[in-house]
Amino acid sequence: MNPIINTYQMNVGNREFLLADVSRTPGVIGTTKITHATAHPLERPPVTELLYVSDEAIINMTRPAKGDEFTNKLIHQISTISICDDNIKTILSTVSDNYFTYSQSMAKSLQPFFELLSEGIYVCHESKMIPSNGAGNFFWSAYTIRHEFSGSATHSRAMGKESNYIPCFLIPTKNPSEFTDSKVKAQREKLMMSKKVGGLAYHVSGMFSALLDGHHSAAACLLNDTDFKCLVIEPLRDFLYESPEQALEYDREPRIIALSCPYVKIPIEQIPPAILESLLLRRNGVRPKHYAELRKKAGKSLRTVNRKSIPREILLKAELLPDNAAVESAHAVTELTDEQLGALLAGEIKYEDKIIISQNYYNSVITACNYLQYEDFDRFFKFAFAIIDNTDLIATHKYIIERLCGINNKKIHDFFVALIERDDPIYQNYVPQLDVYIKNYDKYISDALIDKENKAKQLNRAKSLLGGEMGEAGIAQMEAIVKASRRG
Amino acid sequence: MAFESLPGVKVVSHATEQTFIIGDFFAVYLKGDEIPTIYRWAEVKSISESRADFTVCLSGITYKIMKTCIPDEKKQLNLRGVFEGAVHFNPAIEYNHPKRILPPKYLYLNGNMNEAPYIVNGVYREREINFSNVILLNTRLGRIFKIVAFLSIITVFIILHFTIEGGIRHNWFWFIPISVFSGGIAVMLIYLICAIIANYHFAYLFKNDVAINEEITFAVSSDGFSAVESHLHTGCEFIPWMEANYFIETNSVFIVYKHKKAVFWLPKRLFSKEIQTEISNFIHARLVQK
Repeated sequence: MNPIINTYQMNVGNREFLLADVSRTPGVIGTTKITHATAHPLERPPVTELLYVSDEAIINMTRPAKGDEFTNKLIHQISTISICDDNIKTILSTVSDNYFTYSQSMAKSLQPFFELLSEGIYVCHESKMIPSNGAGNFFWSAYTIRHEFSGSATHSRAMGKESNYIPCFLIPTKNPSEFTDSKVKAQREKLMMSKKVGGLAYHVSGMFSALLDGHHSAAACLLNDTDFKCLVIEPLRDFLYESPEQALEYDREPRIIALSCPYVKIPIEQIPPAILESLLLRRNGVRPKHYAELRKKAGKSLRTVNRKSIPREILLKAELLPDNAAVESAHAVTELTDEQLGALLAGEIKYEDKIIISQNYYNSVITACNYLQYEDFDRFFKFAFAIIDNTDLIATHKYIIERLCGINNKKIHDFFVALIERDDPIYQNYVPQLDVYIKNYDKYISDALIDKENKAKQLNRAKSLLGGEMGEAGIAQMEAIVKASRRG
Repeated sequence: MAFESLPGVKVVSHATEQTFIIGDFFAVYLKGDEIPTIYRWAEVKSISESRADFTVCLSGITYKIMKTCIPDEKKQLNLRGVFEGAVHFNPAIEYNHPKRILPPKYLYLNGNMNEAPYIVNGVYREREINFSNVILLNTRLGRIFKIVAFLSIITVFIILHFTIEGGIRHNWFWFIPISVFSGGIAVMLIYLICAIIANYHFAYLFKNDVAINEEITFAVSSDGFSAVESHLHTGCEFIPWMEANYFIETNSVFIVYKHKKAVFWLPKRLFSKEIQTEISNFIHARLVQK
């Protein structure tokens, strides 16, 4: 049977996306639940969900026992997509190439990929992704050990079920040992030549998407300080219900009003009837062909072939990426003026008789801080420093200092030095933490200087060899020549 | 939800101009509707299956899904599986169904059944079910049979003693074999009635349960057991042993009971003699034999 793929270009609430109905496909890529039976159907057992490619379980996401849809999951990488069939890998890499490099339409580029997916309805869009695990770590090396990830719950308590957001944090599908400097360099060269690079991501849970292709592009974009864009595929499988108040009006149980995925909530009236029908006919519990095999592999952990590590420069840059709290706050706050910030600093929760963020002052300050960190670094520094300077807001100091400690920045370094020099008893508890930060920052700067010197030396050597100006591309070319001559 | 991987079923009722889609939700398109009314299973009060239809009751509304609208028997069984899976997940739904041989699907758990050491496909045969039914009746009514036989012997003896006149009356020694013979006849008659009842019982099941003609996949593992229509079998649903109370082994089948109701019939002929003994020991290690 040939796969049937119907696509519809849609716009809901100013969100452009492609809606795809995929049927009669072999289901090579998808997610499946591994439930643990309980004696009573109302007990909540741990639920493990696997992202699989063919018969390989790639990512394991486990919701702990008694958890609900607002509980964060434990995530770890089990295997790599590289050991899968070559055809699959080729299709995955051509999808993003066709879309980003050759500017093909989204529907056309994704066609071969849709044929690999399990049957279902999918929302596809191009979005900016954050190549981190939502906690300031570079995504590629952050999932080797199973642990809980903030923002991995099916629904975020902070944002609620109704809000639209991009599942922007990434989970790798390749082994960290597959990281290659030369591939990153090649992608960086593409970027320097103003070519578009991107990836292909598949939404798996909450704020997290699995990166199926474009790992090196993500690293290159991070190093070049450019946005990393991805074609994001989100299975449309959740339902949004009317509020209990609305249902009470009609004296009935809450009815389904929209189909939901993180990116968009599509009102039921706007869904093409054919799609709605096929959605109702499909069951959530359909298991893939290799289910038994996948279940056996679910408990395994990732084997790294060698101990090659991700370059320090990438890891340091990832630390500056917004974390989950920042992204959630950015969704919770629509606008924050300087006047509103001033009111918050004065200990108010209202400005011009309107609640600024929340009725809880502590929560308001934290959310404002996270929002500013996501939106505007300069205003974030100003606000954070002003809060720490204000001895009346002592309850918020610990949180703000912890957030500042996660960022390597000269302004923060200087502020912390000044804070220690003040010798104020209020800040005495934080001195050891600030000392560690200052020490680490000094090391970071000295390492960066050494890197810079090395680069300068490399450049000079290249210049002397070629007798002229040359850029990074030239250096890469030089290195290739040297390597080739060594091999020879 | 047990049997949550069964495909959803679309039923078009031309008589009532309603279209039903039964899957993870219970959706109803009324005449001319583009958008269906989608009910969650938690909203359903009761589901009843009769020979002619499925009736789904919600608060204030009742929908009848005629079986004639689903000509394909496999699809009918699929629909029954979807309903019973929903009942498993929402125990508040009142579910009524006619008697049948296969265990109702709401008894199953959806889990990861360990590889079943004993798994086989086959169909039920009328003879083995009838025979087992008679044996079960005998087991259940065995004492009554003995009492009836004894009473009929005594009664015949007394009747002979008081009714027969002449020389034979003095030779009452002949009364004994005659009484015993009539007692035997009485038991034979009762046995015959039982066999007719068993046959009727099977005919009743046969009429009510389309699954009886289907190929069934039987599985017995350390986690539990299952007897599911082969086209609906996933290998992931099973009834755990702790759900059952005891089992009976006849010449032709193993029968597992829950609350005095037979829930699992496993025909012996599907296995070799050695395996039959193994299975008997396997079940015996988990359940009491009666």
